[in-house]
Amino acid sequence: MTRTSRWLYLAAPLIVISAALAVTAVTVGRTRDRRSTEAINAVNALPESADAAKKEMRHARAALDKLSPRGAYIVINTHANRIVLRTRHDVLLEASCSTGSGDTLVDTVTGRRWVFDTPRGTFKVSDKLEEPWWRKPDWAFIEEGEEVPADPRQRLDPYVMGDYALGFGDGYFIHGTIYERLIGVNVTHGCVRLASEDLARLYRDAPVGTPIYIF
Amino acid sequence: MGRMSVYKRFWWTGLVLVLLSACASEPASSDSRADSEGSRSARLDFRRVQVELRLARADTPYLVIAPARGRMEIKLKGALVWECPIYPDSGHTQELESFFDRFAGTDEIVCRPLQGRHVYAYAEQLPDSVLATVAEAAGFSPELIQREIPARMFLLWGDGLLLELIADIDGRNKSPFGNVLFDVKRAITEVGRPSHPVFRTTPEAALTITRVAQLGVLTLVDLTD
Repeated sequence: MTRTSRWLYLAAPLIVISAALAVTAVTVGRTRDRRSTEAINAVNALPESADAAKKEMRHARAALDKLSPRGAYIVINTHANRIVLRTRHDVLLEASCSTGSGDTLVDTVTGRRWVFDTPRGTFKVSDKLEEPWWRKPDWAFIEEGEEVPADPRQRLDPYVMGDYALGFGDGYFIHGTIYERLIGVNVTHGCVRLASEDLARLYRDAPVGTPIYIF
Repeated sequence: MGRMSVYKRFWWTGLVLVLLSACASEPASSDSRADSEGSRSARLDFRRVQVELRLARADTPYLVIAPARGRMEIKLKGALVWECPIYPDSGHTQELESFFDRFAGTDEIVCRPLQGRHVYAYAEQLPDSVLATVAEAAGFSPELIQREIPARMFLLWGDGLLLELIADIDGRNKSPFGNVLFDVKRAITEVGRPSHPVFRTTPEAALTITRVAQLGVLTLVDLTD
């Protein structure tokens, strides 16, 4: 038996097993995908009678309609760094913004870790502030290599948040910035930064309770 | 002779009956076809609303392709959060019809999870000079701030269903070897099937679609106008 044919004898079962595994993986994957597609699409059939069908359709549409906000709502697109104040049919304001960088900061002393992402999901404008002061959290000092102050007054910064701020919970705000040239880039620690003119319009037109959708 | 005429009469009567029934059934069959198309579209619409109701109760965004409205949309909790015009590249209208026919299939499917995404070519969002300035001012590494805008990309839903998006921007190949592999796979998938539809869109829209269109994202087809 030559060396080549010996190698072939050794390699052949491996090739067959690999091919079988690949086919199994593809088949299992396809079955799983088909099942998940079937599960999503498993809904009630349209009734045979025209009247019943119309009634069912009306109910389904009304239920869907109810989920969508009635008045104005804010949409923040973290992928393209755009903010929109809109109703179902009209765009009232569209502007560039800056959202979270996705960067991670680790405090080497305590091991605490922060990920600077803008949270995604549905929120509401919870409070509105004029001439807001920033109460710097621990990470703001750690990031600068400074010691975290014991005196809470040393955390206050009256300049960086611009003229207005709209809170949407958990310490996150839509606010202004002194770095307007960075608008449109993912550079924030999770808040949403706007240029001053756009912020003034949003502050004027979005009352407390306005739904916020972040994706 | 008399017997022959009975046979003849029988055959003539049969022939006339066949012709009459053929004439009578012609308009009826086109009516029933229209009826069945109408009821199929009503059934699909009813399904779509019910499936969307389910998607709108979840916390994740979903994609909606609405060819009749010439739009691709992203919805979250039932609210429209993003929309962009998409228009078929010239000469791709037949592929478009075939795509939506095959998307629904015989099981009248209105929603499928995204099973693949291939960025064929891309352009960088920020030129190097701007990137350096921004990175320095913001104190981040340039890689973190840079975004790749897909210039040409494919979205795949399995069963040979794929759609190509071209953004109005010059891009360079992302991975020549990966692209060759993808082309071969695509050519095999498309054997005996009409080619995939091609849509054109803006760079900003392409960026948003790529980043939202992660594997498993549910895609709903809305054929209403």
